[in-house]
Amino acid sequence: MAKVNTIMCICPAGLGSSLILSMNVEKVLEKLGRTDIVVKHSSLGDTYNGCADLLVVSADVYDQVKQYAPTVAIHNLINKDHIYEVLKQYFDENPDA
Amino acid sequence: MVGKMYIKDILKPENVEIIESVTDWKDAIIKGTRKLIEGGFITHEYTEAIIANALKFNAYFVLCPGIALLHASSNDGVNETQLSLTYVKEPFRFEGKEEDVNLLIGMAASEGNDHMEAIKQIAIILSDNENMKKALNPQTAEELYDLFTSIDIL
Repeated sequence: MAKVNTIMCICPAGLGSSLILSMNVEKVLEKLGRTDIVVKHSSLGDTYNGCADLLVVSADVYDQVKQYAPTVAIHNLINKDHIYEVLKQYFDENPDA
Repeated sequence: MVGKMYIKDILKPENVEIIESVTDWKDAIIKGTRKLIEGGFITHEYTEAIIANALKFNAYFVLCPGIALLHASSNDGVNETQLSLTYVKEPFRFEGKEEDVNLLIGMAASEGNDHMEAIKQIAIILSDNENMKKALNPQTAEELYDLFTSIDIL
């Protein structure tokens, strides 16, 4: 498992849900001490193999993107505690990430 | 408009409303975007694009229990960046989702990232529990408008 340098948040439109999620992911990464990671947001149409080291997406689009990169699903885009738990679990399970 | 757009720059009081109910989730998308169509900020194609996306991907725009950010892409029929708020008293559900939804944030974002500041503000407002309670149970449209526009500029 390679080190995570980039995270991309995806939603079909690429400018609403993905944007809110990317903002909250950035805040959570600060708390996790991973401000080295660059967070971007984009649309489904702009997703491709290796577009990021980790995809953080709404659970609704998980199946659409999981083939492009390691992906974690978020169920509540506003709840930073939930996002924190999901990301922390990922980094705990992938210590090299 | 040039420069950063904050919520108060792109939300008009007349585009904040409280309605009793919707017949189903498609009706919710139609009612949640009609103010933007009436104001000329979007075309009806934008509304149809949101419905099409919801059919294709489930209602990915449900941010959290209670709140949906209705939006599609800039080139789906956006004339001008603008927000609207529609509070539906009777909760309903989008197909494939388990959460009850009451608040519909209609969002039209034209090309570029002008709407980013407003989205940041929305995220900040909704991260506060008291605000969330008010957003999900406003007594008047004015109260809802004030909740979203009285946040300090970042």
